[in-house]
This record gives sequence, C-alpha cells and structure tokens, in this order.
Amino acid sequence: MRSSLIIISQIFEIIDIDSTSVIMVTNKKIAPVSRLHLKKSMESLILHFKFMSEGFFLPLSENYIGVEAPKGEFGVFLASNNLSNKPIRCKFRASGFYHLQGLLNMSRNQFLADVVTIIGTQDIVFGDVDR
Amino acid sequence: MLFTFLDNYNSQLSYRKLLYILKLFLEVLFNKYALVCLLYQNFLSIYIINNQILKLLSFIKNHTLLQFNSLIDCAVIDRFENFFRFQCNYYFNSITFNSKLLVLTNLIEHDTLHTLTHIYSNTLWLEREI
Repeated sequence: MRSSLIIISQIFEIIDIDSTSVIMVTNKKIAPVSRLHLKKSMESLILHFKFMSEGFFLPLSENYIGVEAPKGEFGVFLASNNLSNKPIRCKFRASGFYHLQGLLNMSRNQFLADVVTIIGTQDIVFGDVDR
Repeated sequence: MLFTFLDNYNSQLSYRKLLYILKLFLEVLFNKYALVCLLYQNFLSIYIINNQILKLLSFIKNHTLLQFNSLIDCAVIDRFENFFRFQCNYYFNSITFNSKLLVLTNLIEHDTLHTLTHIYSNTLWLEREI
C-alpha cells in the first residue's frame, strides 16, 4: 500500500498539465492528437481523422496477459493479423469459470441442499462465467 | 547434482536457467520432432508437433525441476490464409518455480488434437470453449 502510494506520487511529479507528451506516445499514428493542435494545423486534422475512423494496424502476433483479480487470475488473450484493424481472436479468461467447473468435484457425495452453500462460498457471478 | 541445483534455485528459476534445463531434456526426448525453445510473446515457449503433445505435457507436469502443474488458459487462432490453419496455444504456470510457459502447436484443417483431460482436469470445460 505504502509503496504503491509512493509510485502514484512519483507519477504526479511527472504529469504536467501543459505538456501531455511526457505520458503519451509522441507517434500520432497510434495516439490521439491534442485538441489544441487540431484547430491550428491541417496535418493534425488528417491524423485525427485517420486515427478515429480507421484506427491502426498491428503486425501478425498474439499475446496473453494475466491480471490479478480478487477471485483469481483474469486473463486477456488477443491475436491480430496485419490485414485488419480489429483483433481476429479475442478471449477473456474469467476466474469464475474455473470455480464453477470445480463445483462438480466440490459437491460430490454431498446433499443437493449443500450446492447452494457451495455456490455462495465460491461467490460466482454468472455473467462473468458466460462472458 | 540435482539437490545442489534445487538448493540454488529453490525460490525462483531464471528464464535462462529454465531454458537450459528444458533444452537439455527435450533435445533428448523429442529430438526428431523439430522442437524449438524460444522466448516468444514474453513467454518461454515450446513449439511441438501435435501428435506429441500428450507426451510433452505429462513430462512438463511431473518433472521435479519444472512442475508446470497448473494450466492457465488455452486458445486457438484460426488463420485461414495459412496452410497450418489453426494455432493452439497452451499457457502453463509453475507455482513452485514462479515461472510461466507457452506450448504451441499448429494444425491443418482436418487434423485432430487429443484431449488433455486426464493430465490437466480443468481442460474439461476449457476445450469446449476453445
């Protein structure tokens, strides 16, 4: 907790309201153009239109990133090819999905009434499982 | 030799060391199946022919120096423009050595992939949502 607060205070020192380029990427093909430049230069207007309408193309790759969530690991899998600006495969690994799968082993040789308690213990969100 | 190795690397295996162990064992076991270990998508990864995957995963799970005994996720990508149309990715986690692993296989259109349910029991639902 304390170290995360220190990190936040260090970030606040970097952030300056006048210059946003310190935090954001300077390549305007993958980052939106500032509103101040939009009304002054033609080039910024073109870049803004291209970014907002078309987006950007990623090279052929795929990646999986897992984030620590309260109920387990929450993972996102994305795959792209260099032909489109949208991912060709997108999968979300919800932690509740694995807990619901374990219900079979947890409720074996138990009463039907115990299933309600087990589901309550696992704290399953069915919208999360069905993602 | 094994115990001195375990004493040194009990808490955390560095990627370079893990790569070395994997190469050492896998070159002996799966030599003729053109297996490659490389750092791909920030994961230590193994590429393997699809009919050898059961042999590899049972080895990875049960070996003392690896212990990749939890399967995090598996996903298939359909790259319809390629000859190897489907690419199957398995992501593993080793809690004892604090490291992750990716196993890749490529499949053509009418290939089949064996189920992993008797090695990793959580693939029972995962393979239905693949």
